[in-house]
Amino acid sequence: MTAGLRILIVDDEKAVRTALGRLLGTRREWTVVGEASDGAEAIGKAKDLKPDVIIMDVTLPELNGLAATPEIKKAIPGAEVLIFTQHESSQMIREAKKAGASGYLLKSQANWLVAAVETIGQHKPFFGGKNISQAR
Amino acid sequence: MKTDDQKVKAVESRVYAETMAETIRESIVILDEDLRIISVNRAFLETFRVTRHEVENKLLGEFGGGEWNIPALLASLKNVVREKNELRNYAIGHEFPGAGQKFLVLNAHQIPGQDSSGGSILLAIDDRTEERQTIEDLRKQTALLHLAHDAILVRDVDGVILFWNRGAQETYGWSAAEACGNVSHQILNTQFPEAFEHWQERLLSRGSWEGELVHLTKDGRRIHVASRQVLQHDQKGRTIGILEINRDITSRKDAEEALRNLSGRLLQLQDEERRRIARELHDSTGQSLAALVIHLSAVSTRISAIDPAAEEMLREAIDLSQKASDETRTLSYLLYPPTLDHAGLRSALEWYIDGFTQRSKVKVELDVSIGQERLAEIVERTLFRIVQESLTNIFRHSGSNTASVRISRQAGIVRLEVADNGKGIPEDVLAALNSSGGQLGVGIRGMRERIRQLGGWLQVRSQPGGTTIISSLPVD
Repeated sequence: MTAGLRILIVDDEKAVRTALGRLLGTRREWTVVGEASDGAEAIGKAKDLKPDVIIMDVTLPELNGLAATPEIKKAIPGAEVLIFTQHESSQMIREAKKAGASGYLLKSQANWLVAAVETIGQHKPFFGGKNISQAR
Repeated sequence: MKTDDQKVKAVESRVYAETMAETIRESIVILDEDLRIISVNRAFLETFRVTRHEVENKLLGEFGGGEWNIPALLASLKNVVREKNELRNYAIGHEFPGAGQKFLVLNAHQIPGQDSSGGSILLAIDDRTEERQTIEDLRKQTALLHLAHDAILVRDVDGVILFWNRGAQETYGWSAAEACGNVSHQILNTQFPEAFEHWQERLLSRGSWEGELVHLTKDGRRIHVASRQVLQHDQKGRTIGILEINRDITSRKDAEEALRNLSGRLLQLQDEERRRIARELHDSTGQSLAALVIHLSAVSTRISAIDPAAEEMLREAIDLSQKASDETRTLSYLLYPPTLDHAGLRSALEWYIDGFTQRSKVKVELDVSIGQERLAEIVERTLFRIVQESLTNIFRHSGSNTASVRISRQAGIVRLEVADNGKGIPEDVLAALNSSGGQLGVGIRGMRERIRQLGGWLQVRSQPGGTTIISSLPVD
């Protein structure tokens, strides 16, 4: 069982942020400490709030998620980043790893989100494409 | 008194003269001073279709149906007798019964008599009817050539213009007087489809040539002509000239060019439209579906402990949403590569080739050496589409299980080479692909138009053992 995780949600779509908040809220010991809707805001909030886990969209205005991740990792090395995206490609997974993310999850596989957050919250990697159950 | 010797000589001369008169092709008539026919030669009888009996000892103006009753001629001949002079090159055209319309050139000489009488007249008649007809036919043909709208010119083997019809004057601006005597490819500044020497050799060896040429008119306009050229031979088979018929197809060429530009523009617009729809699907519909999955997952988590049956229903709802989400994403990716805009050409190609290899089992080697700087959006998109089209062709047609994609940048030119190790494109198909008028290969034509829109060019090289498609694009 993971101890209380502090989570930052980064997505430019409000509907997604709201849905994520509700889903993560199903785990009482977790707290959504903040939300950001672009890459620059994400870096700022990460520095202020020092979350344990950041759920990071890729396609973002200003600075995309893959560009914001290394900045965040540099400022708060202990924070784990989960790339949570619509884009499905093995190349995207490689880029996510290169940027310093600990995990990668397709948005359509959101039923795996709780498991993914739990995994990276324990500082373990979580990378899976479309066929996530086989990938793990 | 004449000696025997002289008599023999006189007889010999007479025989000689008679033999000669019978042999030559000109008609000969001997007339006395009253213009009575003393004798005629065989050529006369044949030309005018009469018998010796019908004409000899008859007055020239009276024999037969009086067809020689030509007052001006008779007066001139009488004058020859009276004045003891000659008639030179007297030309007449006259209708003869049985022999038809004739064009004759007459020459007459007085033959001095032995006594005081006026002597006789030697009348030589040259039948020029056939020659006249030939000239007349030629004149008619030439008139027909002048009626043609096409430019018709005849040049000798050295290229010197001998004939230039009215159509040529209308097409090029020079009159016949200005054009004739000039070397045709010099005055017209002809652009040949290949080196002039090769072209000339082909024409001379095959006897004819057909194709398109570019000419310069008198007022400096560049025009495209469809040209047909045929060697002209004399009766002995020697080449005496080249007949050239050119039709101005500049407006057709312009229309084709406009059409090509339009199709190129349509391809670009189609790309932009696809991109818009792909983004809409991915970013808007895709996000809503993702949010739906997340919501359903949240509900599922809460309800699992209370109502296992409801959780099962939710499980199915989540599966359906995921399926819709995946389908939307796939459709969006097919319409427009998602990574091209934000990650650039190299990433988009890596992404595309990954998927291509999975689907087709064709191994693709990718080498992109264009530096870190991004190319213009439209250039990246065009190159991406060409790689996509080429790899699809390789998979469908080449039979090759490997391919290579190389992109390099040098001196303001980006060069893309897509090659395979397949069976190659059949020669006739290849020729059609590389000619502008080719009807085949919509895919390759589409590529060529995309490239042309950006001021570049595309080349297809193929032989058994592999095909290479080379695109070159100017970049700033």
